[in-house]
Amino acid sequence: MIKTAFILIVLFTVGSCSKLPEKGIKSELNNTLIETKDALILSSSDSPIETLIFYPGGLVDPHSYLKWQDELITKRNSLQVVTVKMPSNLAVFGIQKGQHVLEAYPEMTSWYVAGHSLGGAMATNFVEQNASKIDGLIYLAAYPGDDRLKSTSIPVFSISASEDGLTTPEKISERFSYLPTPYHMNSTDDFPEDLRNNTLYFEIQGGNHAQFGNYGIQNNDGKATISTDEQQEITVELIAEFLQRI
Amino acid sequence: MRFLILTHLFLLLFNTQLQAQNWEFQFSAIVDPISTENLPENNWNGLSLSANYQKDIFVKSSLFGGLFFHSNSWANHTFLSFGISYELASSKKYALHANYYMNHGIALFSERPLYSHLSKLMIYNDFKINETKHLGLGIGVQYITTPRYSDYSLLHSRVNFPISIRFLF
Repeated sequence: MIKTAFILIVLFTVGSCSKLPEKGIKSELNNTLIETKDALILSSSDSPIETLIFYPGGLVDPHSYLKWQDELITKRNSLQVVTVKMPSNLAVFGIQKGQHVLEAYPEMTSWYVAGHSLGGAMATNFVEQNASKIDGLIYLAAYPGDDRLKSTSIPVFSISASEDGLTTPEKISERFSYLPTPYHMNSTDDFPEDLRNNTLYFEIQGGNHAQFGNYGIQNNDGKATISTDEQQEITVELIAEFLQRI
Repeated sequence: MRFLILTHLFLLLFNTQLQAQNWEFQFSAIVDPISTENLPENNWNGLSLSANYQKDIFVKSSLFGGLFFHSNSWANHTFLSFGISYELASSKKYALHANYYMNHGIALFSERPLYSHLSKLMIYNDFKINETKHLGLGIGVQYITTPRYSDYSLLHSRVNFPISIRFLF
Protein backbone atom coordinates (compact mmCIF):
# COMPACT_ATOMS: atom_id res chain seq x y z
CA MET A 1 0.00 0.00 0.00
CA ILE A 2 2.82 2.38 0.94
CA LYS A 3 4.66 1.67 -2.30
CA THR A 4 1.49 2.09 -4.34
CA ALA A 5 0.80 5.45 -2.74
CA PHE A 6 4.35 6.64 -3.36
CA ILE A 7 4.30 5.45 -6.96
CA LEU A 8 1.00 7.27 -7.55
CA ILE A 9 2.52 10.46 -6.10
CA VAL A 10 5.60 10.05 -8.30
CA LEU A 11 3.55 9.50 -11.46
CA PHE A 12 1.25 12.42 -10.72
CA THR A 13 4.22 14.63 -9.83
CA VAL A 14 6.08 13.91 -13.02
CA GLY A 15 2.98 14.18 -15.14
CA SER A 16 1.80 17.46 -13.68
CA CYS A 17 4.64 19.86 -14.51
CA SER A 18 3.29 23.01 -16.16
CA LYS A 19 4.92 25.30 -18.71
CA LEU A 20 6.01 28.68 -17.35
CA PRO A 21 5.46 31.84 -19.40
CA GLU A 22 8.31 33.93 -20.74
CA LYS A 23 9.80 36.22 -18.12
CA GLY A 24 8.77 39.86 -17.96
CA ILE A 25 5.37 39.66 -19.66
CA LYS A 26 3.52 41.22 -16.74
CA SER A 27 5.84 44.23 -16.64
CA GLU A 28 5.29 44.98 -20.35
CA LEU A 29 1.52 45.22 -20.25
CA ASN A 30 -0.17 48.41 -21.43
CA ASN A 31 -3.41 47.66 -19.62
CA THR A 32 -4.30 47.01 -15.99
CA LEU A 33 -3.82 43.52 -14.57
CA ILE A 34 -5.58 42.42 -11.39
CA GLU A 35 -4.71 38.98 -10.12
CA THR A 36 -6.70 36.87 -7.67
CA LYS A 37 -6.21 33.27 -6.62
CA ASP A 38 -8.75 32.23 -9.25
CA ALA A 39 -8.34 34.59 -12.18
CA LEU A 40 -6.27 37.10 -14.12
CA ILE A 41 -8.35 40.16 -14.95
CA LEU A 42 -6.94 42.36 -17.69
CA SER A 43 -8.74 45.55 -18.69
CA SER A 44 -8.14 49.05 -19.91
CA SER A 45 -8.57 52.04 -17.64
CA ASP A 46 -12.00 52.67 -19.23
CA SER A 47 -14.90 50.84 -17.65
CA PRO A 48 -15.32 47.63 -19.66
CA ILE A 49 -18.79 46.63 -20.79
CA GLU A 50 -17.97 43.24 -22.30
CA THR A 51 -15.93 40.31 -21.02
CA LEU A 52 -14.01 37.53 -22.71
CA ILE A 53 -13.61 34.52 -20.41
CA PHE A 54 -10.47 32.62 -21.37
CA TYR A 55 -9.75 28.95 -20.59
CA PRO A 56 -5.98 28.26 -20.80
CA GLY A 57 -4.43 25.18 -22.39
CA GLY A 58 -3.56 22.08 -20.37
CA LEU A 59 -0.46 22.36 -18.15
CA VAL A 60 0.19 25.91 -19.37
CA ASP A 61 0.58 28.73 -16.84
CA PRO A 62 -2.31 31.18 -17.38
CA HIS A 63 0.06 34.18 -17.56
CA SER A 64 1.32 32.80 -20.87
CA TYR A 65 -1.56 34.43 -22.77
CA LEU A 66 -1.33 37.94 -21.32
CA LYS A 67 0.74 39.39 -24.15
CA TRP A 68 -1.79 38.96 -26.96
CA GLN A 69 -4.71 39.60 -24.60
CA ASP A 70 -3.13 42.95 -23.81
CA GLU A 71 -2.93 43.74 -27.55
CA LEU A 72 -6.56 42.72 -27.97
CA ILE A 73 -7.71 45.10 -25.23
CA THR A 74 -5.64 47.90 -26.71
CA LYS A 75 -7.57 47.35 -29.95
CA ARG A 76 -10.92 47.05 -28.18
CA ASN A 77 -11.09 49.24 -25.08
CA SER A 78 -14.56 48.17 -24.05
CA LEU A 79 -13.34 44.60 -23.48
CA GLN A 80 -11.86 42.96 -20.41
CA VAL A 81 -10.29 39.51 -20.52
CA VAL A 82 -10.65 37.22 -17.54
CA THR A 83 -8.36 34.20 -17.69
CA VAL A 84 -9.54 31.59 -15.22
CA LYS A 85 -6.90 29.68 -13.29
CA MET A 86 -7.43 25.94 -13.37
CA PRO A 87 -6.64 23.37 -10.69
CA SER A 88 -3.24 21.88 -11.58
CA ASN A 89 -3.47 24.00 -14.75
CA LEU A 90 -5.85 21.45 -16.24
CA ALA A 91 -9.17 22.83 -17.42
CA VAL A 92 -10.74 19.40 -17.11
CA PHE A 93 -10.79 19.99 -13.32
CA GLY A 94 -12.36 23.43 -13.61
CA ILE A 95 -14.96 23.34 -16.36
CA GLN A 96 -17.40 25.53 -14.42
CA LYS A 97 -14.85 28.12 -13.23
CA GLY A 98 -16.23 30.59 -15.73
CA GLN A 99 -19.42 30.64 -13.66
CA HIS A 100 -17.74 32.76 -10.96
CA VAL A 101 -16.85 35.31 -13.60
CA LEU A 102 -20.41 35.49 -14.93
CA GLU A 103 -21.66 36.11 -11.39
CA ALA A 104 -18.98 38.66 -10.50
CA TYR A 105 -19.79 41.09 -13.33
CA PRO A 106 -23.58 41.40 -13.69
CA GLU A 107 -23.16 44.79 -15.37
CA MET A 108 -21.59 43.35 -18.53
CA THR A 109 -23.61 43.69 -21.72
CA SER A 110 -21.79 41.00 -23.72
CA TRP A 111 -20.01 37.77 -22.84
CA TYR A 112 -17.58 35.82 -24.99
CA VAL A 113 -15.70 32.62 -24.21
CA ALA A 114 -12.40 31.47 -25.69
CA GLY A 115 -10.06 28.61 -24.99
CA HIS A 116 -6.73 27.27 -26.14
CA SER A 117 -6.28 23.53 -26.73
CA LEU A 118 -7.70 21.56 -23.75
CA GLY A 119 -9.14 24.83 -22.43
CA GLY A 120 -11.18 25.23 -25.62
CA ALA A 121 -12.53 21.71 -25.40
CA MET A 122 -13.61 22.26 -21.78
CA ALA A 123 -15.04 25.71 -22.54
CA THR A 124 -17.49 23.94 -24.85
CA ASN A 125 -19.27 22.42 -21.84
CA PHE A 126 -19.38 25.75 -20.04
CA VAL A 127 -20.84 27.49 -23.09
CA GLU A 128 -23.48 24.81 -23.59
CA GLN A 129 -24.64 25.21 -19.98
CA ASN A 130 -24.73 29.01 -20.22
CA ALA A 131 -25.84 29.33 -23.82
CA SER A 132 -28.41 32.04 -23.12
CA LYS A 133 -25.72 34.39 -21.76
CA ILE A 134 -22.83 33.77 -24.16
CA ASP A 135 -22.57 35.86 -27.33
CA GLY A 136 -19.60 34.20 -28.99
CA LEU A 137 -17.21 31.25 -28.73
CA ILE A 138 -13.61 31.19 -29.97
CA TYR A 139 -11.44 28.10 -30.27
CA LEU A 140 -7.68 28.56 -30.46
CA ALA A 141 -6.13 25.31 -31.67
CA ALA A 142 -9.05 23.49 -30.10
CA TYR A 143 -12.22 21.61 -30.91
CA PRO A 144 -15.16 20.19 -28.95
CA GLY A 145 -15.12 16.61 -27.74
CA ASP A 146 -18.65 15.91 -28.98
CA ASP A 147 -21.50 17.44 -30.97
CA ARG A 148 -23.33 19.17 -28.09
CA LEU A 149 -22.99 22.55 -29.86
CA LYS A 150 -24.01 21.21 -33.29
CA SER A 151 -27.27 23.17 -33.28
CA THR A 152 -26.13 26.26 -31.40
CA SER A 153 -26.94 29.73 -32.68
CA ILE A 154 -23.95 31.21 -30.84
CA PRO A 155 -21.35 32.47 -33.35
CA VAL A 156 -18.36 30.09 -33.26
CA PHE A 157 -14.89 30.91 -34.56
CA SER A 158 -12.12 28.31 -34.82
CA ILE A 159 -8.61 29.67 -35.29
CA SER A 160 -5.96 27.05 -35.91
CA ALA A 161 -2.42 26.83 -37.27
CA SER A 162 -1.09 24.91 -40.26
CA GLU A 163 2.02 23.58 -38.46
CA ASP A 164 0.22 22.57 -35.28
CA GLY A 165 1.47 19.11 -34.32
CA LEU A 166 -1.11 18.60 -31.56
CA THR A 167 -4.39 20.05 -32.78
CA THR A 168 -3.55 19.16 -36.36
CA PRO A 169 -5.59 20.45 -39.34
CA GLU A 170 -6.70 16.83 -39.88
CA LYS A 171 -8.08 16.54 -36.35
CA ILE A 172 -10.00 19.77 -36.79
CA SER A 173 -11.50 18.74 -40.13
CA GLU A 174 -12.50 15.34 -38.71
CA ARG A 175 -14.65 17.22 -36.18
CA PHE A 176 -16.47 19.59 -38.54
CA SER A 177 -19.64 17.62 -37.81
CA TYR A 178 -19.46 18.54 -34.10
CA LEU A 179 -20.22 22.22 -34.80
CA PRO A 180 -22.58 24.20 -37.07
CA THR A 181 -21.91 24.33 -40.83
CA PRO A 182 -18.23 25.07 -41.60
CA TYR A 183 -17.37 28.35 -43.30
CA HIS A 184 -13.74 28.66 -44.35
CA MET A 185 -11.94 32.00 -44.36
CA ASN A 186 -8.62 33.12 -45.77
CA SER A 187 -8.58 36.73 -44.53
CA THR A 188 -10.49 39.14 -42.33
CA ASP A 189 -12.37 40.28 -45.45
CA ASP A 190 -14.02 36.87 -45.67
CA PHE A 191 -16.33 37.23 -42.67
CA PRO A 192 -19.92 36.34 -43.66
CA GLU A 193 -22.79 38.77 -43.15
CA ASP A 194 -24.51 36.54 -40.63
CA LEU A 195 -22.25 34.86 -38.11
CA ARG A 196 -24.95 32.63 -36.69
CA ASN A 197 -25.49 29.03 -37.79
CA ASN A 198 -21.98 28.83 -39.21
CA THR A 199 -18.65 27.89 -37.71
CA LEU A 200 -15.95 30.14 -39.07
CA TYR A 201 -12.60 28.42 -39.68
CA PHE A 202 -9.32 30.24 -40.16
CA GLU A 203 -5.98 28.43 -40.44
CA ILE A 204 -2.93 30.60 -39.76
CA GLN A 205 -0.31 29.59 -42.30
CA GLY A 206 3.05 28.82 -40.70
CA GLY A 207 1.81 28.97 -37.12
CA ASN A 208 1.91 26.20 -34.54
CA HIS A 209 0.24 25.14 -31.29
CA ALA A 210 2.49 26.79 -28.70
CA GLN A 211 2.61 30.19 -30.37
CA PHE A 212 -0.96 30.90 -29.32
CA GLY A 213 0.72 31.62 -25.99
CA ASN A 214 4.16 32.70 -24.80
CA TYR A 215 5.43 29.59 -23.07
CA GLY A 216 8.16 28.33 -25.35
CA ILE A 217 8.28 25.09 -27.28
CA GLN A 218 5.80 22.29 -26.69
CA ASN A 219 6.61 18.60 -27.14
CA ASN A 220 5.26 17.05 -30.35
CA ASP A 221 4.36 20.44 -31.81
CA GLY A 222 5.23 21.31 -35.41
CA LYS A 223 7.94 23.82 -36.35
CA ALA A 224 6.48 27.24 -37.01
CA THR A 225 7.62 29.22 -40.04
CA ILE A 226 6.31 32.52 -38.68
CA SER A 227 7.25 34.17 -35.39
CA THR A 228 5.17 34.11 -32.21
CA ASP A 229 4.54 37.84 -32.60
CA GLU A 230 3.29 37.38 -36.17
CA GLN A 231 0.97 34.52 -35.20
CA GLN A 232 -0.45 36.44 -32.25
CA GLU A 233 -0.87 39.60 -34.33
CA ILE A 234 -3.05 37.65 -36.77
CA THR A 235 -4.93 36.04 -33.89
CA VAL A 236 -5.67 39.40 -32.27
CA GLU A 237 -6.81 40.90 -35.58
CA LEU A 238 -9.16 37.97 -36.22
CA ILE A 239 -10.66 37.98 -32.72
CA ALA A 240 -11.12 41.76 -32.73
CA GLU A 241 -12.90 41.62 -36.09
CA PHE A 242 -15.05 38.68 -34.98
CA LEU A 243 -16.15 40.51 -31.82
CA GLN A 244 -16.85 43.64 -33.84
CA ARG A 245 -19.19 41.73 -36.16
CA ILE A 246 -21.17 39.87 -33.47
CA MET B 1 14.35 17.64 -14.49
CA ARG B 2 11.74 14.90 -14.53
CA PHE B 3 14.53 12.32 -14.33
CA LEU B 4 15.93 14.04 -11.23
CA ILE B 5 12.53 14.12 -9.53
CA LEU B 6 11.97 10.45 -10.32
CA THR B 7 15.42 9.46 -9.07
CA HIS B 8 14.97 11.45 -5.90
CA LEU B 9 11.59 9.96 -5.09
CA PHE B 10 12.51 6.39 -5.94
CA LEU B 11 15.70 6.54 -3.86
CA LEU B 12 13.69 7.74 -0.92
CA LEU B 13 11.19 4.97 -1.42
CA PHE B 14 13.41 1.97 -2.04
CA ASN B 15 16.69 2.73 -0.28
CA THR B 16 15.37 3.72 3.12
CA GLN B 17 15.43 1.17 5.91
CA LEU B 18 11.92 1.36 7.27
CA GLN B 19 10.94 -0.29 10.51
CA ALA B 20 7.24 0.38 10.67
CA GLN B 21 6.53 2.22 13.87
CA ASN B 22 4.30 5.08 12.95
CA TRP B 23 3.24 6.09 9.51
CA GLU B 24 0.98 9.01 8.79
CA PHE B 25 -1.03 9.37 5.58
CA GLN B 26 -2.85 12.63 5.24
CA PHE B 27 -5.23 14.27 2.79
CA SER B 28 -6.12 17.95 3.05
CA ALA B 29 -8.46 20.35 1.33
CA ILE B 30 -7.35 23.96 1.52
CA VAL B 31 -9.86 26.63 2.56
CA ASP B 32 -8.89 30.09 1.33
CA PRO B 33 -11.59 32.56 2.35
CA ILE B 34 -9.49 35.69 1.82
CA SER B 35 -10.85 37.28 -1.32
CA THR B 36 -11.51 40.66 -2.84
CA GLU B 37 -15.07 41.83 -3.06
CA ASN B 38 -16.74 41.59 -6.47
CA LEU B 39 -13.99 39.56 -8.04
CA PRO B 40 -14.39 36.03 -9.33
CA GLU B 41 -13.00 33.90 -6.50
CA ASN B 42 -14.09 30.84 -4.57
CA ASN B 43 -13.26 29.70 -1.05
CA TRP B 44 -11.20 26.63 -1.91
CA ASN B 45 -7.65 26.75 -3.14
CA GLY B 46 -6.04 23.38 -3.52
CA LEU B 47 -5.45 19.94 -2.13
CA SER B 48 -2.54 18.16 -0.52
CA LEU B 49 -1.47 14.61 0.10
CA SER B 50 1.37 13.52 2.37
CA ALA B 51 3.08 10.46 3.76
CA ASN B 52 5.28 10.81 6.85
CA TYR B 53 7.31 8.45 8.97
CA GLN B 54 7.16 9.34 12.66
CA LYS B 55 9.74 8.49 15.31
CA ASP B 56 8.99 9.02 18.99
CA ILE B 57 11.68 11.03 20.76
CA PHE B 58 10.05 11.62 24.13
CA VAL B 59 6.89 10.35 25.80
CA LYS B 60 4.65 12.98 24.24
CA SER B 61 6.57 14.19 21.21
CA SER B 62 7.85 12.74 17.98
CA LEU B 63 9.77 13.85 14.95
CA PHE B 64 8.67 13.00 11.46
CA GLY B 65 9.77 13.30 7.88
CA GLY B 66 8.33 12.38 4.53
CA LEU B 67 6.89 13.52 1.27
CA PHE B 68 4.28 16.16 0.74
CA PHE B 69 2.41 16.84 -2.47
CA HIS B 70 0.46 20.06 -2.79
CA SER B 71 -1.57 21.68 -5.51
CA ASN B 72 -2.83 25.25 -5.50
CA SER B 73 -3.90 27.86 -8.01
CA TRP B 74 -0.43 28.57 -9.36
CA ALA B 75 1.30 25.17 -9.43
CA ASN B 76 1.68 21.65 -8.21
CA HIS B 77 4.44 21.28 -5.63
CA THR B 78 6.43 18.43 -4.10
CA PHE B 79 8.12 18.94 -0.77
CA LEU B 80 10.37 17.11 1.60
CA SER B 81 8.52 17.39 4.86
CA PHE B 82 10.04 17.67 8.34
CA GLY B 83 8.27 18.37 11.58
CA ILE B 84 7.46 17.77 15.16
CA SER B 85 4.34 16.42 16.82
CA TYR B 86 3.28 17.02 20.42
CA GLU B 87 0.49 15.27 22.28
CA LEU B 88 -1.67 17.88 23.99
CA ALA B 89 -4.13 15.51 25.62
CA SER B 90 -5.06 11.86 25.54
CA SER B 91 -7.84 9.56 26.72
CA LYS B 92 -8.64 5.92 26.13
CA LYS B 93 -10.41 6.66 22.84
CA TYR B 94 -9.04 10.02 21.66
CA ALA B 95 -5.81 12.01 21.47
CA LEU B 96 -5.21 15.64 20.66
CA HIS B 97 -1.99 16.50 18.80
CA ALA B 98 -0.33 19.69 17.64
CA ASN B 99 1.91 19.23 14.60
CA TYR B 100 4.28 21.72 13.02
CA TYR B 101 5.45 20.97 9.49
CA MET B 102 8.34 22.66 7.71
CA ASN B 103 8.38 21.76 4.02
CA HIS B 104 10.99 22.59 1.40
CA GLY B 105 10.52 21.67 -2.21
CA ILE B 106 9.78 22.78 -5.73
CA ALA B 107 6.90 24.15 -7.74
CA LEU B 108 6.62 21.75 -10.64
CA PHE B 109 7.29 23.71 -13.77
CA SER B 110 8.91 21.79 -16.59
CA GLU B 111 12.32 23.24 -17.54
CA ARG B 112 12.35 25.77 -14.68
CA PRO B 113 11.14 24.29 -11.37
CA LEU B 114 11.02 26.98 -8.69
CA TYR B 115 11.94 26.69 -5.01
CA SER B 116 8.92 26.64 -2.71
CA HIS B 117 8.46 26.68 1.03
CA LEU B 118 5.43 25.69 3.08
CA SER B 119 4.99 25.98 6.86
CA LYS B 120 1.96 24.47 8.50
CA LEU B 121 0.60 24.26 12.04
CA MET B 122 -2.14 21.68 12.58
CA ILE B 123 -4.27 20.50 15.48
CA TYR B 124 -5.55 16.92 15.15
CA ASN B 125 -8.18 15.06 17.05
CA ASP B 126 -7.28 11.39 16.60
CA PHE B 127 -9.69 8.56 17.21
CA LYS B 128 -7.93 5.43 18.44
CA ILE B 129 -9.26 2.54 16.37
CA ASN B 130 -6.97 0.17 18.22
CA GLU B 131 -3.53 0.16 19.82
CA THR B 132 -1.68 1.00 16.61
CA LYS B 133 -4.23 2.51 14.21
CA HIS B 134 -5.58 6.02 14.64
CA LEU B 135 -7.87 8.07 12.44
CA GLY B 136 -7.67 11.85 12.83
CA LEU B 137 -9.34 15.04 11.75
CA GLY B 138 -7.38 18.27 11.77
CA ILE B 139 -7.55 21.97 11.12
CA GLY B 140 -4.75 24.48 10.93
CA VAL B 141 -3.08 27.32 9.16
CA GLN B 142 -0.40 27.25 6.49
CA TYR B 143 1.82 29.65 4.60
CA ILE B 144 3.11 28.78 1.15
CA THR B 145 5.47 30.81 -0.98
CA THR B 146 7.26 30.39 -4.30
CA PRO B 147 9.49 33.50 -4.25
CA ARG B 148 10.80 33.38 -7.84
CA TYR B 149 7.30 33.02 -9.24
CA SER B 150 7.11 36.78 -8.70
CA ASP B 151 8.96 37.08 -12.04
CA TYR B 152 5.79 35.81 -13.71
CA SER B 153 2.90 36.52 -11.41
CA LEU B 154 1.54 39.08 -8.98
CA LEU B 155 0.49 36.28 -6.64
CA HIS B 156 3.26 34.06 -5.30
CA SER B 157 2.54 33.52 -1.59
CA ARG B 158 -0.58 32.72 0.35
CA VAL B 159 -1.92 32.10 3.85
CA ASN B 160 -4.79 29.64 4.02
CA PHE B 161 -6.39 26.97 6.16
CA PRO B 162 -6.12 23.22 5.59
CA ILE B 163 -8.79 20.79 6.74
CA SER B 164 -7.23 17.34 6.99
CA ILE B 165 -8.03 13.73 7.50
CA ARG B 166 -5.15 11.45 8.47
CA PHE B 167 -4.54 7.81 9.13
CA LEU B 168 -1.82 6.74 11.55
CA PHE B 169 -0.57 3.19 11.84
